[in-house]
Amino acid sequence: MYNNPPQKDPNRQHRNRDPNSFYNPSNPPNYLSNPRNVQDPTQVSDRSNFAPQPKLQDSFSPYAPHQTASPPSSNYQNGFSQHSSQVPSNISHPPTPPVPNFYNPNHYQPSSDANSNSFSFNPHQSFHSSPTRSLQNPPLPTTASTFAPLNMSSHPSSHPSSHPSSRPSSQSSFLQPPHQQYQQSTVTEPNTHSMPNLIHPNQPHQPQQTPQPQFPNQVPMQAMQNAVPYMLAGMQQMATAGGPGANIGAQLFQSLAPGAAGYTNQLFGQGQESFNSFMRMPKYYFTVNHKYVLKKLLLILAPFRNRTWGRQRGIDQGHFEGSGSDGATSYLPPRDDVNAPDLYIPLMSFITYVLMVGFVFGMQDKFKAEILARYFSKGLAVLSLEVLIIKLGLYLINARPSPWLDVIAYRGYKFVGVVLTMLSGILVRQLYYPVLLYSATAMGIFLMRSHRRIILPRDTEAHQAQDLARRNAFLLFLSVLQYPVYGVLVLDMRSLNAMQ
Amino acid sequence: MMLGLGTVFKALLLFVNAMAILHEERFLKRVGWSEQEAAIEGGVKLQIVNLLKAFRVLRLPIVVVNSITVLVLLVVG
Repeated sequence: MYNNPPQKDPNRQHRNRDPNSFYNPSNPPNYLSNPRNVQDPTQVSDRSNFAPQPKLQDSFSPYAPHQTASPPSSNYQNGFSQHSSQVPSNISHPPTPPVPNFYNPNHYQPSSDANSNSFSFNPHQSFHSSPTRSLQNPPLPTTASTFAPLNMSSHPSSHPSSHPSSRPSSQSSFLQPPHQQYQQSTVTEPNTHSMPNLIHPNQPHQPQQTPQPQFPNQVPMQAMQNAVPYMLAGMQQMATAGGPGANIGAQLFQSLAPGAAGYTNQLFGQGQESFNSFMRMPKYYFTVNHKYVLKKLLLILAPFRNRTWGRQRGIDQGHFEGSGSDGATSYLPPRDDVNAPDLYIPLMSFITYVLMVGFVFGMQDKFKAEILARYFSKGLAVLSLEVLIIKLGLYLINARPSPWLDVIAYRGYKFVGVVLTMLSGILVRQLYYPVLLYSATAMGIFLMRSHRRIILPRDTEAHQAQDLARRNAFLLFLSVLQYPVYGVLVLDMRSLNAMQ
Repeated sequence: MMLGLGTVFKALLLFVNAMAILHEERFLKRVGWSEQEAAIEGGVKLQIVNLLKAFRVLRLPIVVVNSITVLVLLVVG
């Protein structure tokens, strides 16, 4: 096939434009006398002709252009045109330098152990991962970057939308002076209760140094400033009206003036409890990574190995609280704290449960499409009943308020055990009951330990013995409830399993 | 009856109806679950009495939800 090269137009100067000169794998051109340079790229086994390929682990200079010789130039020298089809498919493109982490001047990464799969910049990662992976912390918009307070950017999981300077500037300028003052007081608020991890361990206290950009249009703000005391008075009245009223007042206040996070603690005086306790953004529950999922699954099935059960707190960077309180301390998202509840595992295990039910029915040739819908509804019914009972119980014993999604998340973890039971029942028939009992027990222990801090009184005042007994009884009830619940979910397939 | 989401909803609605019906003056005071007494005693009783009061306040929306449910059940069966 090298004897009749493709016919080229001799008048054409530029080789690239000639359609006949395009590379044809079945008829590769032979421009040079050196036969070694003629290669069929589909059969290239060694790349000795080309420049030595850059190993991915070698290049650690993300900001310098790639130093090694690039294949396209060598292609050109060898007479191959620049057409993309001429580049052999097994030559990798030069890796693009990853985006530097603008959010993190100190390159601080909370979960930065070697096994961490969290989406932070990691020079050991392959550069060929998807671009979104290394861009998990998108750079700040440049207009607002100069106004960034120092300690707000030390957490790499912050979103640009939550940044105070990226909001309409009129709001931040209006609330700037007291905002700065009060926010200092909240950040350096002493640890009133014996909480081991009030502040994220790697974030030191830094007084917020928010500069105050002066904007010309402050005249309409004067009117608002005059009205604010009345608004505040009204909300404070709502706060003093009662327990739930305070939360509603705090919510309203924060929704009306998102920049005034510092006000809330001062005015409503609830200390650490000022964050939203009715609703938290669902986004919070889905920030998980592989490490968290694996550890959590292990925790659910074998809760004996955990050392600390308290949830860690940190600065709420990710705008997870429904009221948008920036800078207030709240619980860390699941990605950073293995004790935090998430909704990913319950959702996935619930879907797995429904599918496995269908599978079990199918093994007996009793499958109908209606079965999936029925067991889906049944699972949801059991879950909602349990959530309602637990919510009622928490209210009756005057426990600290817990968001709805938290309770749903904790209750949804039981589907993991249910799936495990069904799986083991399918594989080995005799394992069915033991695994069922074991997973219900494990779930009970897990729930008991997780809820201890919510239910039992935190301070060691002299509480009535009856009250304490009631709380302990409720805690126990939480776990004992698991047995009938597991039974309801699983046991009417006992007959099916027996027929294997 | 199959335990499903609709079943739970109906049961919950009936339960809420039952809690909303309890009349404060005619019944609760006789049994000793009035507000003053619960405030004195405190604890779970206070919470329950407050809960019942909340249900009494919500009587109108409960009526609306009942009507809608009745209509839907008429149509769907």
